[in-house]
Amino acid sequence: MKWLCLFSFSCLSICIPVCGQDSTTTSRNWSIAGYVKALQNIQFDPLNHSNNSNQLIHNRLRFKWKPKENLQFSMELRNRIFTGNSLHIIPNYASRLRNTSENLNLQVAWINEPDVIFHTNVERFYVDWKEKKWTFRLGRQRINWGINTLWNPNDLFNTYNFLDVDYEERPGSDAIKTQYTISDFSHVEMVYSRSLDRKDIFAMKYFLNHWSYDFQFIAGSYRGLGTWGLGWAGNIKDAGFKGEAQYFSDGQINISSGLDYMFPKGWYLNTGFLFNSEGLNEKVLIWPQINLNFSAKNLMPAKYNFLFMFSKEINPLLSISLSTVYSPRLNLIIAIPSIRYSLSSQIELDMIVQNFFLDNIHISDMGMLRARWSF
Amino acid sequence: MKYLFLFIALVACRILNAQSASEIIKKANDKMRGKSSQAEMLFKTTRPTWSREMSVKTWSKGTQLAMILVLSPAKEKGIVFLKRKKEVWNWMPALERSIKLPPSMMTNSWMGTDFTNDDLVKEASVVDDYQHRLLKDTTIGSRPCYKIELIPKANTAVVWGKLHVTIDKNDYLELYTEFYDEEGTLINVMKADDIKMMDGRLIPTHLEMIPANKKNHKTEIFYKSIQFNREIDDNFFSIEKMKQFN
Repeated sequence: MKWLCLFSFSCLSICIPVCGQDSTTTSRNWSIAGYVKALQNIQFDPLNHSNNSNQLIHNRLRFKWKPKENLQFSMELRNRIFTGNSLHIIPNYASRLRNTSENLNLQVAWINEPDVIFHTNVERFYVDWKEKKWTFRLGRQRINWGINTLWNPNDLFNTYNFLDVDYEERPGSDAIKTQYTISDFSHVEMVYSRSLDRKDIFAMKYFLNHWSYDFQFIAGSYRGLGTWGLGWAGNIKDAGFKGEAQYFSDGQINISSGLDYMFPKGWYLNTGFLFNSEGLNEKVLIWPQINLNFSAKNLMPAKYNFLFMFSKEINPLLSISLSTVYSPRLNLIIAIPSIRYSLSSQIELDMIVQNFFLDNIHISDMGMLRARWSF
Repeated sequence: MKYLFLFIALVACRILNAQSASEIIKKANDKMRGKSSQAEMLFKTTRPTWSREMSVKTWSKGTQLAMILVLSPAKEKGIVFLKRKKEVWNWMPALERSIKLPPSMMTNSWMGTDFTNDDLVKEASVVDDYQHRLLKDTTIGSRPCYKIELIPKANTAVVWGKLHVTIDKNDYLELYTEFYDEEGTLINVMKADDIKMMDGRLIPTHLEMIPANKKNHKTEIFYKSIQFNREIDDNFFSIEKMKQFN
């Protein structure tokens, strides 16, 4: 593992002067890219009047090597340095950094002290091979089957977590993926993956485009359960109309759909709902009963969930957005206002706040200030 | 009888005029577009206190198929836009997924520039979706030019209410265009210059889109290279291909 880290940092130091001019292509069939983020996170607990402050330096490195037109190797590393209160409050903090979707242990905590943790994980490590109509991808990879905007019941492998705003890439799965291209706009994908707890996911997806809609049909086995799903993405007049439904053989069904529309002058509106047949449908007494560990079976803890999101590009450098998720019976509201400012073509600042209200009680606020330098 | 003859002559003249305006637009359109084209270009967006640059590679075939790959800056590198007939997809490499864009997005700014999505992927065809009428001739620099008014045909989904296009008479180069909204208000002006020979064609290699009534705002396009009429297979313009750029 150690060599991986040494390799990554030596590459980073080589890359920085190279990247000043163009986006990091070192030679014709090599590329190195990535980012460094500095993040300050403050959590307020209005009930106990306590604050929790954490800092994170977050680096991602992407390496690609394409020795032949039909063969490519990819590796991505995620290096993080944590400091702050949470390291003292949460026991065994470093052990919680392991992604549960990953079967092989390709992570290491270089420093694991009470005040600081330095952690590296191999986030992607795969080979792509293409042969006529067949493509194969073997190794740690992201398999993103989402077709809807926010909630993705079809995304069996790497569920999107809208609260984890610093991890848009999401964890990888240790998987074998095969795709057969039927035509320009139809293909079949077959994926087998194994997670940390040795549970398997095997699924097939048939994708096609017809009547100006994208459709996908899914069948497979999800951690021992049979599963079937469908998704679509199209338009009603000028608005986007997308949705997904996924059924599991234990009787659970998740259905999500929504509309999005871009108004003139950069106003964007997105509304949608999620129905989780196994979700909570009554008031809960205490906050810890709410399970925000998202998975394909737990996209939201409540049965009925609604999303209202708008964003506005004030100018090409500055944009604002407000996302609100409301779960009626549970009376849960999550409001996420954010501001993004581009300081230069490589540096971006984000300010994001997450407010949680349960049954009209203000449970928690999370504020985040982040600077990102891309290279 | 004399009046009838005059009337027929006038109508015939108008028809001939309309045909020739359409022909001029078609020739100018063919000149920059060809049956297919692939280009590398730099966008520079300028505002009173800052500017940003973005380089892209584009491919197009007819009016139905287009693809744009962002090459820089680093944060946007690898983002792809694909247009196929009336559908548009966006490939996000960080998320490893394609997102189907709603048609309402076409009228909005493309990645912070003064160009709309529609300007880039040419959803609307200046040849087929507009009626053309010759206005008074004009000159740009030393070049004699036609000035042509374009009014969208009924029931076509077009962003603009009216265009005034100025085209060089000798080389059929679109050198100056005024974009009006449906109320007839001037919204943008596009200027084209730095005329050079590229891939055997004389074309303007520097375009400027200047919003009206916004001082010191503009987006420039600099063509680094362009190739016309090379064979591009239809299946190049597919979601599969979008993924393979990364």
